[in-house]
Amino acid sequence: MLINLAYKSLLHRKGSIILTIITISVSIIVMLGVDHIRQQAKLSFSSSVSGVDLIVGTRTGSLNLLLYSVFRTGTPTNNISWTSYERISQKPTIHHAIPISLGDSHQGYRVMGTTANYFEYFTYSNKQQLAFAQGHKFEHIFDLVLGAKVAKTLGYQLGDSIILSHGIGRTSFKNHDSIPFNVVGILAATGTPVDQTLHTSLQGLEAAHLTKPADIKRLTQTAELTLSQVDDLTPKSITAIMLMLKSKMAVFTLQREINTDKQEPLSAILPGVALSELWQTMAVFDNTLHLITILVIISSLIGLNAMLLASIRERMHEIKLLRMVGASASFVFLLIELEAIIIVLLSATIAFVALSFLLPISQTYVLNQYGILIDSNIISKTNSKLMFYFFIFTAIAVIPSALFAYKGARNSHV
Amino acid sequence: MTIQLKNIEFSYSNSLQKNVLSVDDWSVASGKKLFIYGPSGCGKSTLLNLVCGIIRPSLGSVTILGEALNKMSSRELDRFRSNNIGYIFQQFNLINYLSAIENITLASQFSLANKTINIDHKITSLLETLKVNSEDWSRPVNTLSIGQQQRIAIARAFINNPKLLIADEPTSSLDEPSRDNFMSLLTTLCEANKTTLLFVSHDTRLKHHFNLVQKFTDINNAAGKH
Repeated sequence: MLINLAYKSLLHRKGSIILTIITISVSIIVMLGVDHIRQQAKLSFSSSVSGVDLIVGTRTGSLNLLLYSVFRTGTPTNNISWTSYERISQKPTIHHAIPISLGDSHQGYRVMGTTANYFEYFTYSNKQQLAFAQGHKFEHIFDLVLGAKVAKTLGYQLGDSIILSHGIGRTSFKNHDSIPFNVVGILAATGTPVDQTLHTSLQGLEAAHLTKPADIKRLTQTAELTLSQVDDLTPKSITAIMLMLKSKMAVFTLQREINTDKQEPLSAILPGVALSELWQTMAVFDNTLHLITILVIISSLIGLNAMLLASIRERMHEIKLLRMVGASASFVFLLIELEAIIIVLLSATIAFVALSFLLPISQTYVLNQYGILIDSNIISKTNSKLMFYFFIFTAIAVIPSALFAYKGARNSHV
Repeated sequence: MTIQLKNIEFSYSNSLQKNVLSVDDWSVASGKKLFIYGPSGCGKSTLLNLVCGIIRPSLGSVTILGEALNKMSSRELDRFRSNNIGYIFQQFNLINYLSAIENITLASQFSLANKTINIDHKITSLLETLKVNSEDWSRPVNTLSIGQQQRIAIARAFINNPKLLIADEPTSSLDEPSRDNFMSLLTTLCEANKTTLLFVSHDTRLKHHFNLVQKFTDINNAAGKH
């Protein structure tokens, strides 16, 4: 009876109710949308690297090391020597060590020199391996593997020839003109900084920095040189090393060993710890989104209350009638509460339907523009929890209106 | 006795005048059809509110159908009202977005009286007795004429077999033919159900439908003194 009455009364006032439902739907879309993107950004961020137990660089702050080795922003303060790499990679607890070398760029995208093992051992997100959308990993000295976004925005295809620039500016004055690189592989999109990176061999990078014309000539004329044939191009120094250990238990011992290395000032960081430290520095961003969400909820609930309060003034007569046929004042209170809940329920349904259409559409755009891979599935545990709280807040927020109706009902005279 | 008022004093808290209502001793026997007349604004509606327990007297006791309203909690009062008292007002007797059937059903659901019997059948037979066209039963009542609405109001008032029916100027918005029609349907149903009728109006032309007629100022000592 209560539900039927609430339903009929809402139907009777459909004009203002539909407007209210639209308002609240928009609020719920903003609330869930903002929170969803916030969560996904955090997830995308923290999934930039996984499976790497330690990152070793020169003596520097952990955030700086993380920024340049994983996010490819900022500049390394110094390089570490190749001998240190060899020394560390031979330690018994190491399963695998991947050297990386940064410093060059192409059209503003960073070039990273590494070994072919990188494609096998580097994992992101939930221990996911890198996958090739086209082509294969580099085998020859001037081979180049592009991240998904680099290939897409610059329109490169397999077989294209690319000139790298020295330094990291978008408009570098010094290009490695004499040595073109060939695109042999394009990676599938990952939603991590890998998408924005050009990968080549350490030897290739070393060759690009050769200054003697004779050496360059020798290499470029025999472009089919495989990596094993150019031992003389082994780099003197690299930027950082990514370490995968045999046992996670050894992480802290090894970290201390590296940090206190006598031969070279090194620092080793745990990427997971550094990532969460970095995310904490973005707490302002995180809190701002939270604040926006809360303000949106508050304003929509105030709007709902205002609409109900105005309607109750018009409905005093109806309330009196209900009292006359035997409805208790608490029945009237419940009726208003129920109407509010029905409105929010309808709004929530609309919002969920709208979001499940909007998210898949915006997915590609967000990935291309911001490099964040958002899940198109809006129904998650946190979102259900948010909606649950929203219903509770609604019930609390309409108490003033419901009380007003209740008081009106109690004092109603014929 | 259906209604018994003793030493009643009543004033609205926000009113300047001392007493709106002052009744020494007034009672109505069961099964009577009582007509109370008096000019508008003299406190007739206040008396009706006291009788059905919507307002409580400042002093004195109200006994309806042998039950002292003063001693009931507001929840008990709600229940007592829906089980025993029917009402018809001047207008707006019905929730305008519900149909005739829904309005009557709503009233029946708040009462204990109809828990066992077939309510739908009772509603249809009432509506038929009151000559409401069957095609109008399911339409929202705000699409019907005032005359029809007032007849549906009678049906609504009778659905719980009230022992007391209170009517507050129910005919004032009706034209003459509908008024006579309304009065004869109302009094017939009251007689058939042995319902005590308490009818208040300023229109003394209605007197002949009743077996008991009282002037409001004869009941209320406060009336006319302000």
